[in-house]
Amino acid sequence: MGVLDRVYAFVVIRGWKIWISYKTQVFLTVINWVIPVFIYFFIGLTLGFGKFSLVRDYTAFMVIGTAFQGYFSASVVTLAGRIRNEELIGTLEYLMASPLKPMALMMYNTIWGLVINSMSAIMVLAIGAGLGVQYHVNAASTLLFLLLYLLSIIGLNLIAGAVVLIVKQGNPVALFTSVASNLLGGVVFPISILPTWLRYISYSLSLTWALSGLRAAMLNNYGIPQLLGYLWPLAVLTLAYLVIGISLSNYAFSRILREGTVHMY
Amino acid sequence: MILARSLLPITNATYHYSSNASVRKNPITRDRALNRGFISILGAGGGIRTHAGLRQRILSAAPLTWLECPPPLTWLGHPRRFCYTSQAFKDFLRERYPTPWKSLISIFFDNGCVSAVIFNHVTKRFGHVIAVEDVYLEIPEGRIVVLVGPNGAGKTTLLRLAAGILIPDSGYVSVYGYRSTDPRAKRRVGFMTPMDRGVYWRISAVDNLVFFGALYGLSLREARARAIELLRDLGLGERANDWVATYSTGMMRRLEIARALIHDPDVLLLDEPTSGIDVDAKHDVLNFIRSLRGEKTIVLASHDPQEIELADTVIYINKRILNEAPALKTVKVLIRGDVGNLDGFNAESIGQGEYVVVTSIDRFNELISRLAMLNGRVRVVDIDVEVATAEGNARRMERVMRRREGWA
Repeated sequence: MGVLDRVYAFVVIRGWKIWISYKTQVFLTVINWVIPVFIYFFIGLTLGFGKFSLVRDYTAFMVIGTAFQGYFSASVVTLAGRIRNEELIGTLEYLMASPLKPMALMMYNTIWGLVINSMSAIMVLAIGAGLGVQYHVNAASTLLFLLLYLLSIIGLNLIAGAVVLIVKQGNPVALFTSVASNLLGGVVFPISILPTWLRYISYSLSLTWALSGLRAAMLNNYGIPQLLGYLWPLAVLTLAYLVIGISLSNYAFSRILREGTVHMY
Repeated sequence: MILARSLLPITNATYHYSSNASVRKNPITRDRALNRGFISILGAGGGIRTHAGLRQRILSAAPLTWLECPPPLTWLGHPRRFCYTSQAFKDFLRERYPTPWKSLISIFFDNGCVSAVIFNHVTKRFGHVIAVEDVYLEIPEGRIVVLVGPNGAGKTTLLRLAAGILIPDSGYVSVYGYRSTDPRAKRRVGFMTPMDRGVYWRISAVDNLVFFGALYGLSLREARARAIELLRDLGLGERANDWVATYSTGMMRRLEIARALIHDPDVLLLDEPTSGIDVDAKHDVLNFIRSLRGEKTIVLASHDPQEIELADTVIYINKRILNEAPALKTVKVLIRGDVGNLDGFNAESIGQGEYVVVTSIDRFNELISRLAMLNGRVRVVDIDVEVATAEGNARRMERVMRRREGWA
């Protein structure tokens, strides 16, 4: 009961109510979700990517990539931005003074980022359906990939949030995830066209494996046994992100409590 | 060998400045006894030995007494000197021994004096800057304690340490027996600093309070009911559903106090709660805090005489605790009429048939009774309460200590 109340408090009161209070921002954010889909759709039509041998249906490829890329780039920015915002408006001190453990605080803060990116993903998938994408979804493998992917995002969130807690401003993790997701994650083009050395970097991203698995699970109805080749690297990366994220967050919290910089920005 | 210097009430006149280094290092020990007018038992070695009969007299007279720790406990790592009836000692025992012993410890040592907050020899530095140094302070339950001192003296640092958002470099802070960073301690603490920050501006006051209430484990329904009640008590009932961004500074300050109280804490830490607000708003806020007297333990950092006036105890701090004194409230009563004989009170004429009587707050009721016995021959024109005495004494004491110890 307490957990649900807190989730409501973080998602509805502090997330949703404050978000919709900035109406222009809401409008621009939604536009930002939708426009890239159409841009890549028309580029695909113009250049005939549908005939490109590596990708059979470019629109479907791009829609899945765009829908789930948001978690990787935006949600990391969302948590780090959230913490930065709390520092600026002075509420971080009061969140820290509450009996919530630091890790729980980070988790609750992460939820809003996941919720808003889920809204974006659903909207993009719906637009994809409108553009003629045929989904053949294997529910079990889709859910498993999504779960692992979201856990890896939580790990990245913790890493980015910990960095912001310490450095306050200027988050290299957010920059990396933003660049990496666009360039290296196989969002709008397959990573097989990347130079070999860049491809190795893309293999270290959970996004790469998650998108490959989700495309196969959602477009071709592949089951878990057929996707083990994508599943285990994703699981390993998720575990690594989580371990690093939790360790770094604990370190960051104990450091700001020791240094007395909770109220600083 | 018993080295009891005195069991008599101590006054400033009988105060003897000890040459003993460990006693001098801890002025609070000495000053607590001194200012409460209770007892002071100082051992030559810095420790205190006592026997059962004497101990009983000590315990009945003074809630806080430094004693020498017996060997079995020192073998376990307990400091040699300890405050016999203090929460620190009980904390130590409870931490050291498992659950079955806890109730026994309570029976033996909970003798009616409960310290809500303890700063146990706390030192905190920020880089090379010392914020607070070796602060030992026990704040009894239900008291209003005001921390006074110059800017940068460490008042806010002490509040942050008690709120668990700062970790001391040495020593510890406990709240009802739990370290201040422990969630069980945080549940019992409400904290507020006045910065027009710390609330979300683009949601309503009720939503703000419900959000913070949920963090403290209140259900949404409970939090909403409590939020509405608090906002009504603080005079914000009509604006409860407005965006906080539309609030004035005074309303914001009241909302911040409501946020600190949303989970009904036992301890309230307030940092200059009325700074930057107008006279009327200040009056309301102070009255509200006054209404919490006895219900909550309130620690308040302040420079404001009206806030200091709330105090049961005033603590003057400048890195270290320099003086702990009961709030020596002076009452000035302006009367008009035929004063006649006011035994024990000095009525000073200020002309035109008006007199000023200055007395301590302890004798205020006696004065009023005495005036009432004059059968309407006098009229009370004005009453003014001042607490500057405590801070003034503390400042004087600081100057003396600086000279004696060659402080920088």
